[in-house]
Parts: sequence; structure tokens; C-alpha cells
Amino acid sequence: MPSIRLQGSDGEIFEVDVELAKQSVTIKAMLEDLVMDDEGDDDPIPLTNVNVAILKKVTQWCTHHKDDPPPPEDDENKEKQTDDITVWDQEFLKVGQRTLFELILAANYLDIEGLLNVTCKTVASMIKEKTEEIHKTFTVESDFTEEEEAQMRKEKLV
Amino acid sequence: MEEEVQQHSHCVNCVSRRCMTRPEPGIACDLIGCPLVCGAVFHSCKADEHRLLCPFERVPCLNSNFGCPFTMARNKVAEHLEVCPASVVCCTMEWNRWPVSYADRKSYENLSRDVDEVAQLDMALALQDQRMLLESLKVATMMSKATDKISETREQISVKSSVQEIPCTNGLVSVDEESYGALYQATVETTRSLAAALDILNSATRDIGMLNTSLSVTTDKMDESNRESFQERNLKDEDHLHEEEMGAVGGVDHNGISQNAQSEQNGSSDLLCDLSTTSLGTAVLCNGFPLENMCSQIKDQDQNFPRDSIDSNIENGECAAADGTSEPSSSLLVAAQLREIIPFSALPDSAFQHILMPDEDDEEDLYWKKVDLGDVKDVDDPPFSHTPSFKFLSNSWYIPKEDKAVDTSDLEVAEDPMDLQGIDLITAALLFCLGDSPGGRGISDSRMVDVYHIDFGTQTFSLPSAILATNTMVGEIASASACDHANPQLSNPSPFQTLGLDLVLECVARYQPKQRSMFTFVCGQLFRRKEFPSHFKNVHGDIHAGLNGWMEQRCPLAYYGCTYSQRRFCPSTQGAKIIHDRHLRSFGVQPCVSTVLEEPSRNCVLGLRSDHLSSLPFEVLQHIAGFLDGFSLCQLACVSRLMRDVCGSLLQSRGMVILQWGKKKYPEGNSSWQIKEKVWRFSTAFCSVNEWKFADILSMADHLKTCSYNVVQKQEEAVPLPCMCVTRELTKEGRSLRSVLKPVL
Repeated sequence: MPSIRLQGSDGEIFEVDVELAKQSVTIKAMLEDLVMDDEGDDDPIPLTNVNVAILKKVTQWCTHHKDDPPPPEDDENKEKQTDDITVWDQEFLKVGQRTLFELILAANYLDIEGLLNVTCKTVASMIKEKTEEIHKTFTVESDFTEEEEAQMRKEKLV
Repeated sequence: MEEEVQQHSHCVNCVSRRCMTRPEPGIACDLIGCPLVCGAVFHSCKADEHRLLCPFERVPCLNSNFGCPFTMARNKVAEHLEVCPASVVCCTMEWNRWPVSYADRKSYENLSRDVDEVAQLDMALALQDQRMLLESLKVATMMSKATDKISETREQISVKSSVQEIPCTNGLVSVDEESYGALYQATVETTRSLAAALDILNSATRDIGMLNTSLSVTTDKMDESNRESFQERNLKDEDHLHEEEMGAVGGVDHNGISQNAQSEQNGSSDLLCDLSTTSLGTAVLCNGFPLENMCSQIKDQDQNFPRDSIDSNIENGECAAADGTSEPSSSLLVAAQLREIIPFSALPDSAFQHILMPDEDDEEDLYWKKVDLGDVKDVDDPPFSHTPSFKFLSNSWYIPKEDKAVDTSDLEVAEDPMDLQGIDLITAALLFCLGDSPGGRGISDSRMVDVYHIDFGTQTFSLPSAILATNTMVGEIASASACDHANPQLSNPSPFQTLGLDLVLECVARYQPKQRSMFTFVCGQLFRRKEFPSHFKNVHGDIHAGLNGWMEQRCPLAYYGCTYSQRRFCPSTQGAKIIHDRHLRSFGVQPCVSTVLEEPSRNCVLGLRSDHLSSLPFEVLQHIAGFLDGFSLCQLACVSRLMRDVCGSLLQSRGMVILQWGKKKYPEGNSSWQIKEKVWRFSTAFCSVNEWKFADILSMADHLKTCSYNVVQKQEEAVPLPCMCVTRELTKEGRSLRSVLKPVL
């Protein structure tokens, strides 16, 4: 099967199947814009925002989901669930926070909707806690003043 | 007429899509199609009229006046209304709780001891209800305003008494007459009738004291002049008392800008009227009648009054100084002694009380008599050996009474860091609402004395109306009752954490009459229309209904102090559990996320984790937040400014808009309610739980094996059955067992 060569942000070259790569709307657009003959161009496609390690993870996900139907049109009125992550995806995403967020960034850059959804759902599930736990889980510093915090607590407003 | 002139005479009545009339100025115009291509064809002069009907015309939402900012095609309005942010539903679900009975108070203190993080849903909800109850029981008192408004108030009230008005120094609940005129008058009438009832009650209790026999005379006669002055003052005071009570009951001092008032204006508050509080004094009342000065007068007259007996019980309505000092302490303190001698259901064997009685020689004089309450224990058998004299009844007017405020500083009320104005506010708040609850303290104990059905006052503090009629803080009354040495356990050092409400919640229909002592709580939370069904089903139908031992199962020995409980049900989603947030006053669902491994921080010298979440692009954070429910969005919005902005960007699509009303007063004197602002917020709805499953937990029997309160008693000796004990005695005499056993019929 024809393959293309991708160059990560760290300079490494990674070869991937064209059909798998076309799950990325970004790569697909690049391929359509570039003039490539049947022998293939040896020049790799530069992906400055994604390193090879993450590219390999992305490829792994795309390989598993290559036969998935296209996702339905996003309905804003429909309640978005976070409990519909498949078991395989749950195991796949048992990674560190740093890797998880790099996958999110990669999915966002490469415009892979399915991967972006499942990674964002995973983070959303982690956020579904109380404010104090969110601070601890994600090491987010609160930049509110004490008066603002007291006011928020009193009003319970956003 | 002008419109008809503008419309063409032909076009007015023409609706044909194939009209062939030639256009003529003033007569007819040409046909056009809808610019939005809705398919309509009409004369061009009707273009504006068609815009009122065109389904593709962009129109504001029907709820635009309620804050909805959206515009959409007319044919999308119905679909939008289902998710309109201004289409807000207020949950009116109610539930009820009993206050903790006196007998169960100790076990509830154990249950709620050392509870920092409430993980038990039933306890969390009960404490939430208790906090709401305490907040709603704050009574607004502004001494200065009350003093100023007293004169204004009296002008409004028709005072029939011609006695000299004595300025009330007790301090009344200030009333905003303009705002609460009708309600004010209604409460005035109510209080007047209640005061009259209290008057009768106290008169009757005094009379009962005079009916008791075997009294020992110990007090001197009252000075004639003092008695006369007391008479006059008593008459004045009685009327004055009515005026005081009339002038204050139900009054409210609205600052108008207080937070809780604001939230009430939002319509999202489920509390009762919340009032800011500054208490500047205390009026001591006993069953609605001030006692201080009367007690001091009586005390001064009685030189031989035994110091010890001062602490004895005083019949309700008449008091002496409790601690024997020349300066009488709180009359409530004294009145509280009643509790010791006349408990809820029984009288002690050798209790004495001192009551004011007419002198046998001179019926116009009064003296203290020591009454042996043992004689009145058996109310069915009058202990009197002679026909009781009822002449003293006419002397009841001579009992001196005077209104006087009491400084409760000598009660050593500890300062409340939480600004509750009382140590055991919860106790007072709950007790003062108690009426004739079987689990609580009755107002009076009815007894038959000398063919009269008389009520002995047993309550140690004022009825609710009297409390509202003064600036007495509920907490201060609680402090007074806490000084009841017979019941020190009523003191509650941690009113927020120790539960005073029953853990078991009940659902009594709104139309059903409820006992006065049963508290009713309303959900009162606001939701988007689409969120309401899942909220009602999950929160009220599943969680609330399951808290009484079904979902949250407590150890059978909880009454003895075991705090163990286990959750038997959980959402069917793998690992999800129900949590409760105190600040949001709501339940939520917390999913169990597969363990995200912690990576060693290679870039950070100190090994600290960096904030990856905040480094994500804004649109990615929006995408993540789009998967969160309202409950989680409320939590996320309080994390940081960035997260607050992310959540803010979702307000229009996921939040709701609530109108905040404010009263505007005009120079002419009238006022009207106007919309001050529109507040956007998220609801506390969580993602719908469609299925529940049994949690993977151990059986309660496994816990009982190790429960520290499960003390197993092993009987080593045989326990004789009562019937066998009797028959054993009978058979000792040599009789056979068959002869002593009763035949089974």
C-alpha cells in the first residue's frame, strides 16, 4: 500500500500508510495541494507541531479506527456524553497527563475529529470533580483574589 | 386610513400567485417572490406584511424580554424554545424533616461528630437543609430604626387603651410600613390574638398555684403603695405589651441589597425570607410576658425568701431571681427552672415551687407560698381537703408586671466566630419552632386540678410570636435556655456540623396539613427547560428517595454512634458515583477516570507538575468544556480566570439567564418593580443517569463483625421466662405444672 513520509517536530522521519494519514484532514489537504506522482515524492511532509512519538500514538489510534463510520454531525442541542468511550480507547489513553495533552494538541493540529473527541472526553471526565480536586489534578493555580472567591462562593454565579 | 391609502385598491384583496393585473400607480403593483425564497409570491406592496409571516425571517426569540439574546429564523423558534436560555424552570419539589427529638439528640451528635468532608449523601443533604433553615431564621433587628419607627408604627395602629404609653425600650423588629403594610397589619392582628391567649394561659397558671394546698408562707406582704403602683403599671404594661407585640410581629427590615435578598430577587433562592441581622439588645420574655421587674419586686419584698428555694421551680408566669442576687438575672433563666421541676410528662416526687398567693387573712395582699408539687402530681385526685377559694382569681390583676429589657451578657454567651449571635442557635431555632411535636418539648402540660383543666407552662422561652415581637435573637434565647442547668446538653458548640434535623426525610404532599413542628424544604433550583426532567428524576426520584436507607445504607447500630455507611447503588457508568457540593447545594455525578499515569517531569528541576490544561488553546478548552454538565461547569468556572472565561463563552449555549428585579421608588411616593439586570449562570444539573446498578460492596453483616458498637452479650446463665417464674413458684408447693398452667382456650 502506498505510504507517505512525515517529519516530526524533532526532525525524525516517520512513514505511514496514505489511507491512515488521510484520516487527518490536515494531511489530506496537504496531499491534495502537493503535486505528487505515482513514484511518490521523497520529500517528507513536515509536521512542525507534532513529534514522532506522538505521531506513532496517533497512527496507532488511526489504525484501530480505520473502519469507523464518519462521526455524525455535531448537534449543539444534544447532550454530550462522556461515558461512551470504548474500552480500547480507555486503555489507549491510560497515559500521563503530558502525553494526553500532547495527543489533544496533535489531534487538534491534524484535525482528527474522533481522536480529538475521545481525548477531550477523557479530560472532561477528569474535570468532573469539585473545584478543589481540579486544582490538584491539573495543578492549576487560582488567580482570583480572595474577595472575588468569596463573591463567587456567595453568588454561585459564573 | 393612511395604510389603506398606501395599499393599492387591487392588491388589498388580491392573494393570487398568478395575478395578471397590469401594474398601475395607486391601483395595483407587480408580483414578487419572497426575497428569502420561502416560496411565497405576493404583490410588492405587501413585502413588509409578508415579513411578519415569512418562516425564514430572522426574528428575536419569544423570550427576548426575559433575556434571551438569540435571533433565528421564524420556523426555528419552536425548536429553539426547547433549549432557550431564558426558558427557565424552577423546581418546586418539597420534602420534610422532623427536628431531632430530645431522646435522639445524643446519637445525632455522635453521627455528625468530626465530619469534615461529608461523603454521606443523607448527612450532606440534612446539613444543607439545616444551614438553609438557620439562614432563614435570622431576624432583622435595627435598634435605631426600630426606635424611630415605633412612633410611626403607633400612628398606624389603632390603640384602644387610654393608658399612658410607655416608650418601648425592648427594641422591635423594624417594619417597612410602605412595603409591608397589609402584611404588617395582618401580623399585628395575629399577634394581638396570640398575646391574648398568652395572657389567659399565664393567668390560669397563676391560678393553679393558688389552688395548691399545704403551702408554707415565707414571704412578707407586699407594700400597699408598691402594689398599687404595680397595679397601674401592670395595666399599662399589659396594654403596652400588646402594642409592642402588635408593632413588631412579622416585621422585616430589608436592606434590599443583602446577598440573600439579591438571590431571592433572582428568583432562584429556595430560602425563606432572609434578613440581615444586627441585634442590639434582648427582651426577656417568659411565655410572652416580661418578668424581670416583677421578679425583682417580688424578690425585694421577700426578706425571708430562702436562697436555695430561689432556684426552685417557679410557676410559669411568675419568677424570682434565679441566682439570688439582688439584681435579677434573666427571667428566662429562672423560668427555665420550670423544666427541671415540671418535666414534659411527669413531676418529680419532692419538688417545690414558689408561687404568689393571696394572704388568707387579707386577700388583697400577696405572699410567697412554698408549694409541694408532690401534692399536685395526681391530678385526678385533688389533694385539697377543703373547698378551694377562688377569691384570689380577682387578685390576678395585682400581680406586678413590667416590661424591661434584659442584658444577657451575664449569660456568658461565647462569641460566635461565625456570627450566629448564639452558641446553640440551632437548638433555639429548632425548639422555638416546636409546638406540640411528640418528640419535642410541649408548650404546656395540661392537668386536671380541682375540676379545672389547667395548663402548666413547661416551655422555657417565648412563643414564636413573642420572639418576633422583640429584637431578641433566636440565638440569644437559645443561650438563655442553654443556661438551663437541668439540660446542659442542649448547648450546641457547633451549630453547623451537629445535625439537629432528622436524617430521614419525608415527602408530605403540599395540600396535606402538616404538624407545626415539621420543617418543609423546597428545592427552588433553576434549570433550563431541557434539564429539568433529568434533574427531577435523578435528584428527587432516585437520590432523595433512596437516602432513607436504600441508596445510603447505614449501620444498624447508627443510633448508638456508628457512623459507617455504604452506598448500595451507583450510576451504571463504570465507576461513577454521586457526590454532593456544599456551595452549590446540589448533587453531582463524578465519573471514575481510568488512572492517568503520572509522568516524571523532565523539564522541571523541582519535579513539580506543570499546568498542561491551561496551556491548551482556547478553542480546545471550549471543546473540552462542551462535554461538561452544568454542575461541572460551575466547578470549573471557579478554578481560574482562564477557565472562567472558557465557561463564560458557553453561557449562551449552556447557561441560563435570570432576571434580577429591583424596587424603584419614585419621587411621587409610589414604587414599582423593574428589571435591574440579567444574570447569566449555569444550573446545577448533572448528566442524566439513566440506569443504576448495585455497587460492588461488602454486606453490612461484614461490617457488623468489626463494628465497635456491636457489643455481643453472651448469656452464660439461663434466662427465666416470666411465665415460668410464676409457675415455678407455684409448683414449689408441690402442685403439678398442669394444674397451675392456664388452659388454652
